[in-house]
Amino acid sequence: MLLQVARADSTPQTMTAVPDKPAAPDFALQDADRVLHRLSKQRGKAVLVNFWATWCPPCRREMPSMQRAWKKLQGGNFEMYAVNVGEDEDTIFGFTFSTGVELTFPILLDRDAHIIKAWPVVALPTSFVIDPQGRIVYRAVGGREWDDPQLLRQIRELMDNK
Amino acid sequence: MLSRHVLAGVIAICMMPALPLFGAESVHTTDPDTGIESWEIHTQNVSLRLTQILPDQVRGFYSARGFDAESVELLATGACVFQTIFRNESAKRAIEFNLADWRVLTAKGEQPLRLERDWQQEWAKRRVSASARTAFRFALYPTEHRYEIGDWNMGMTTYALPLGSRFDLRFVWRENGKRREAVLYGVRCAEETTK
Repeated sequence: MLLQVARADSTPQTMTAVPDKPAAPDFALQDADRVLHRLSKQRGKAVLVNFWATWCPPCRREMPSMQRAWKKLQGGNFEMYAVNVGEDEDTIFGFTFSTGVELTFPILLDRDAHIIKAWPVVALPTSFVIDPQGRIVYRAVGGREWDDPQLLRQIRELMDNK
Repeated sequence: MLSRHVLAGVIAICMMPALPLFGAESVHTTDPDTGIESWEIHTQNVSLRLTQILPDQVRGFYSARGFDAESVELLATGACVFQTIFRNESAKRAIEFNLADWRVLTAKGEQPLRLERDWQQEWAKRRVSASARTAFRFALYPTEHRYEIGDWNMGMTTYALPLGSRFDLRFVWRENGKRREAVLYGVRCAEETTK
């Protein structure tokens, strides 16, 4: 299955600008350690919000690249939330151990799939980049290589415009 | 001046139903380890790949997501299921699609895919849990979507055909408001054991 999605590596990595930059729906979700994260508290930062599930091959495939992007951008005006849809801590732990990569960005649990309903998500994975003013500025449907220079440049431009 | 025969030929061509203009070939591959088969086509700035999902894989996946045994069996043997990847490969334009426009072509004629909304009605009747239905919603390929440049996705598509059936799939999308279509030929539903 991973062979099928590997093709994403060789294609240009893009995000699409979202017209009118709608306000990002707020959420407050716990991570696997039961720490609460509220999106609206991240004003002043660029935020990557990724909706995913462990059973979704392209979601799994893009996680290591999200970790690499996190390492490059964390410490600046940047936050990353990987919002798991509909699964529990045990399932997520099982997945994170299997990746062979330590995922250090917050993985949040939308266990009842309530939060995702407020977002324009049709399929998993779908990712959004939120600007420091709390607006959705980019969208990406399907997996990406998040440490791609072009994607990092687009996020850094937002980080610089706090 | 056109002869009568040439004129008749021109009229006949003009009256023919619209056919795919691009003769891209479907590529068929078989995994040497599992025997699972895939079909893929790249045409007109999109690509489509279908990969068989074995009934046992369907059983395992949906049992783990809270479906009862009877509902799982309905999915595993009452339809054929394919892992589906559809990509916008255009560097210039977005595309839109609606799986309700896609058609299964067999010797008996054509029929639509079995869509998520059809299944959800069944799950409601069977009182399948909300969490299982949510998992189902996101596991199936979305019925309608718009793909911007670089967008793609993977999910299951389902077909109301007996296991082992052969069919062609006419898939349809819109680019810049214009209808495009192509055919993925010779697809075969998985059987209980493929190899």
